[in-house]
Amino acid sequence: MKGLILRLGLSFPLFWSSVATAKTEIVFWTWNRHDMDVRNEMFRKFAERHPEIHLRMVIHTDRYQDMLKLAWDAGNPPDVFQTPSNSLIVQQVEAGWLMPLDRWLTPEFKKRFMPGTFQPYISMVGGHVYAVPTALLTAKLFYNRTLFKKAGLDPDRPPRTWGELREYARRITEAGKGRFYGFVIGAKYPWVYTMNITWMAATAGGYPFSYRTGRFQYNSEPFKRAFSLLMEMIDDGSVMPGMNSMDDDRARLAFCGDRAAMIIGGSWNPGVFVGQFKSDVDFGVADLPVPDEGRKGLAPAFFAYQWSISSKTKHPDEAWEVIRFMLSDEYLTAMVRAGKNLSTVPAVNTPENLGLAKGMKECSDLKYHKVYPPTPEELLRLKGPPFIEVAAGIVNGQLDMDEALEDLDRRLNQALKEAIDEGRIMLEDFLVPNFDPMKK
Amino acid sequence: MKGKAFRTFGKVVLYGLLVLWSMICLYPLIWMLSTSLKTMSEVAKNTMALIPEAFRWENYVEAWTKGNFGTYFKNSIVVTVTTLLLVLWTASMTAYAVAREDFPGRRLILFSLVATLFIPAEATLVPVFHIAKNLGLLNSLAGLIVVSTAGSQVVSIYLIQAYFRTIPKDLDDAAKIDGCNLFQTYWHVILPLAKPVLATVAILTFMGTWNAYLLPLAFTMSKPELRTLPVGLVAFQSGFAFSVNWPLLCAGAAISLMPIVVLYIFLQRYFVSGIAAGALKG
Amino acid sequence: MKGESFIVRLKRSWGAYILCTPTLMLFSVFMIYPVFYVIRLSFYQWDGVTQMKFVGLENYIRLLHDPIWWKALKNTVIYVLSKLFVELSLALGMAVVLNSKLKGRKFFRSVFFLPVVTSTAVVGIVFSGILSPFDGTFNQILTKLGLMRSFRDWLGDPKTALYAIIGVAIWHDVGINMVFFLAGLQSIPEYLYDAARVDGAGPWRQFIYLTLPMLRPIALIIVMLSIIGSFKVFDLVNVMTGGGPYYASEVVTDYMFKYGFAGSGLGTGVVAQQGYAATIGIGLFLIIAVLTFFQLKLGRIGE
Repeated sequence: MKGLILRLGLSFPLFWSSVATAKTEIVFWTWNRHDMDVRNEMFRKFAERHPEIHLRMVIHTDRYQDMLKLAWDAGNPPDVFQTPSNSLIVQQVEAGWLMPLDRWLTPEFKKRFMPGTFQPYISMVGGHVYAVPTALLTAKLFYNRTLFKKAGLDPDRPPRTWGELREYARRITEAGKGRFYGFVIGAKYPWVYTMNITWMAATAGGYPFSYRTGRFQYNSEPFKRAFSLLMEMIDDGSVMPGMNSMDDDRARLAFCGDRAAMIIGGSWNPGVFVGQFKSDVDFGVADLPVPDEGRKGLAPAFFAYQWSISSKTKHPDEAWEVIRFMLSDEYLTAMVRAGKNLSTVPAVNTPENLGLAKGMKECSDLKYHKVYPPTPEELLRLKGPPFIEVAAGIVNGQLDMDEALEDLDRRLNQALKEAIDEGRIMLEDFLVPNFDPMKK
Repeated sequence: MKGKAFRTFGKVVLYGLLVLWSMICLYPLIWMLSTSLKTMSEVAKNTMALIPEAFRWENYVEAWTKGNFGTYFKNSIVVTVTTLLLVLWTASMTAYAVAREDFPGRRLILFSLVATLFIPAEATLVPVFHIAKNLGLLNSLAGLIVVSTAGSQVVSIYLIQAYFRTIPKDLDDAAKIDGCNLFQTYWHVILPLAKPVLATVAILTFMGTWNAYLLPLAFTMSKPELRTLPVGLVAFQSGFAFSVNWPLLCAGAAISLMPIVVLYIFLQRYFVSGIAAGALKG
Repeated sequence: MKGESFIVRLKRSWGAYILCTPTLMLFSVFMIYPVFYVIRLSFYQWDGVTQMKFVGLENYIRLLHDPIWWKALKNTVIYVLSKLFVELSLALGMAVVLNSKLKGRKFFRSVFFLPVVTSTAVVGIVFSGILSPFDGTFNQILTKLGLMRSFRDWLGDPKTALYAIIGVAIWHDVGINMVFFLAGLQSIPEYLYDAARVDGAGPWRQFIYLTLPMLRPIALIIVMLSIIGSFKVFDLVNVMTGGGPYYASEVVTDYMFKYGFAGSGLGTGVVAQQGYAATIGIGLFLIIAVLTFFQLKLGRIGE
């Protein structure tokens, strides 16, 4: 208690003294809290090397976009901030928020990054680079080796096909006798259907937007089969009960607490299991199972955690200094070694660096992954429920699958047409004539 | 004899129900306290267990220091207490004028107040923010206090004026004959009689301001050191795809719960008896 | 009074205006202007970031044809009415019991108030655990008592989700209404009961003919507060079900936010439709305005 009071007493004068000295203040906004420990550690080093820069770090985990918008309204935007790694970045460029980074991004500098890092509608708009993604996230199946053993399954042989996934889930549930289940999904907030339906459909060659015809295609065989698979597993009783009242957090807790054997999730999960839950769960990471007749498409990977500079900043060079530090091998290595994420700089993703954190190496296996081109879906003014809500309606039997998916495509295509007519979207930007879901 | 047995039986049932509801009320809080003393891996293994394997009091220390709860606590107190006083002052004055005086515009004021009762604060966040910017109220506790007062006073005026109407008008007339002007009547005669409703408004405003989330979030967005407890609490939820630190969240929730519980338990006597006394006098 | 000219009344009322000044200043700046801003917004199409576009009545036409809005409205009304009748009767019952010379009443009063001050974030986590169909205490108790054969997913079943939320809401809010009723009960002078007893009225008749009429002023306030709070409900729904599954427990305010605020992150990031969100809010406002109008007419509140 005494130490506590002492610390509190000390923290105030320290705080004031740091404000009092004349420094260039750079305000930095992010919604990432999970990597805060490493980031703070690294920026302590940064502060030693750059005594002239005072960095004010603000984390908004909730309503980040709304707060950012208010900050712009107030004429008081941050100097450096995180931007979404999808077509929504167009909106921010259109509003004049972002500063082109081209003047700092020399060809040599860009060469360090993996192909696709600088891509329209992710980090580029109209030929200019506005953000630099620092992480690559992948879609994986996580399985609980302890429960595999208990059910008499080989813990080194995760399910490879949809049929095996269903069969394994059934067998584990049988062995569990109500104490543990084969599969878990926390669908209280329906965005998890992106993982459990869209990602699975990708392995069957399905993707929401046809890059050849420029039309939405949720109403297609791969999506319907992904829905059927999940619904059959629910019917089998192999999905842990309570999926609609659990959020993803509770589902992952159930996984770590040896109550559910398999969960689909992103490569951020090992960090959550080990770093945040401090769980000693014995888990394995596998590629997403593919349809029984074989793979028809690669699983998705995503660029993420990208930083931009405000067009209003008074200190662009100092702001760039901050971003440059976050793009340095030193900084990215620290993130990779701590198991936070795979970096967009291949030189940093060495086996030694990846091997330090549990599950990281497997999550970084990109053999069966591709970064799907951006779609205009985020930019549409969709009338009625979006895919994730429709998915919840289908899985819970509130909607008829065929009708609902047809209706969803119709509404999406209608909204797309409106956006094109208004001149907000150029369809050509999103077309990839020779698109092949099996090719990288 | 039969009547007595019946009454005893009734009493047993009554106590049974009271104890049952007490358990229903306490259970979530006990769960919260026990989770606040667990480790995250323990939460994963046995989410619903009420007794932690080991009591990790350091969670509270961590929440207080790492979560910056000391600062948030201070901010919450400053904002809540000031808002409370301002609301009591402005609302009771307006309520007095609206309830006791007949002046041009009175009905318009009443109508506009009632009309805005149903508008959630979240719906008007953007325009409120615009104004606050133009008045230079952003990123300061003062600005937050002004806006919170504006938000809380409507329902308070409504409650207080309803109560004022139950106080006989003769009192005002008597005070006038004694030579009191309008302000003196308000201050010396009516306000002391309105203690019960002021206590009600105080509790409602205190709870509303203490638990407010969106306004404090928006008004402190570039200055985390100005955050209040609820805003700080949400920071334990790591946002999209990342996990909530349940023990720290529960420890933080327990910390922010404490003042209201203490306030209620200590004020309960004054609160209820004050109401009784006021009503009798009225 | 009636014969006075407007100017004279204006002059005579300067005191009242001074009393109202602080409120009116705050009110016009932070309530009136924002309300007109929102009304204006409802005629526009706006993502909150780029240029606004005037669309006339389009948003309102869309609202009338939006089945989910009607569903959310229906759910909101069910929520308001259930809270009103179930919660307030419960609160009154508790208040009457705890107003008697019962042993331990102070303890019960304090304990019953505790849920009121429990943070919604914690309520969301705890009750999803208690109501869980895997290891939830609620299901275990019901099956042990033989009231149910198998576990149910109360918050996840489209048929029960809304009612589960209402149950939790009542748990959360009944305490504060109990306190208000207690205050009302304490204000009834004891001699009235003595008189009633002398007249030979039993406890039941005392309650009907004495307690209830005397509680009318505070009851009106409690009812009003309950209705206002229920129509605005958002936090609780958001943490318990997020309005799901597939809008089964959606309420108007939560639906408004789904359009009004941009999401961030994978698969959930879409452009905000703030104009339509404003229209959703105003739709609710218009309905409440009509209801209030009738209530003013019937209950003569504010007269």
